[in-house]
Amino acid sequence: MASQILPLELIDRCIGSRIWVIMKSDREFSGILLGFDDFVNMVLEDVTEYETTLQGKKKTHLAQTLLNGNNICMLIPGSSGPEDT
Amino acid sequence: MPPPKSKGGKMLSLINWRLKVTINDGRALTGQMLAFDRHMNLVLADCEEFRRVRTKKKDAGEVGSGQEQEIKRTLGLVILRGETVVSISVEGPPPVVDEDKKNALPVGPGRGMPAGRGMGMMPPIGQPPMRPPMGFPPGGMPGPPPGFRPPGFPPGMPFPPPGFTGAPPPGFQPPQ
Repeated sequence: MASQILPLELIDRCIGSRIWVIMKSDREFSGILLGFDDFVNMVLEDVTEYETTLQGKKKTHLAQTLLNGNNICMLIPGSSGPEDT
Repeated sequence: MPPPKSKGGKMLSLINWRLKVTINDGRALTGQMLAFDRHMNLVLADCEEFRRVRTKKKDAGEVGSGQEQEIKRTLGLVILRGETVVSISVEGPPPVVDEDKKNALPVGPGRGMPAGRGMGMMPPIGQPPMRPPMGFPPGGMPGPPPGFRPPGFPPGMPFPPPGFTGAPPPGFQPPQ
């Protein structure tokens, strides 16, 4: 009965679809998840980086990016970023 | 010695409950906990994020420095990395699921009927159920006694040759 699906299994199911990654800092990424490893390092494709600074919000487009799992805080499957909600 | 059920028991008892999770960057998340693992990674449904933001220099002159503003965002289904979890508290009980509504399916537009290939399970209407009679005795069986006629044959007719099925096909008139 326990928890029927583990958090990492849920991430695994997101491979190939868009995911919104919120880092520990005020930085967020939205992209198509290509893969991840045991440390939840992630490779994203067709990425938009959102950076909130005192000056305001900055948006950067990146073709492909590798995220260090150490800095990841939250993952939101199926969402295309802060502008989606 | 710890009680036998202590392993993950507290977290397990909180599953499906609405929790408020504080994380180490000052944010708080509320959501229904669907799953967790040994790293305290959490899956939270209908998640909302709250951030306390101090309005700094920019608004200091207008509003007054040190004022805190709470920013709320709706995130939906969230996977939270366990490393960042600072504390968990109960926000509310699990949403009540109506058992009757869960099991009862609404009436749909379809209809139910038996399905099969070709011939149905039932004999076609208008014909009596009929087992093909055995025209000849299987090997090792004695033949019919003299004067014995399979059903369906009028008296006075010659005994059917082997291989001939006893009953005439439907609609066939026996010879007069």
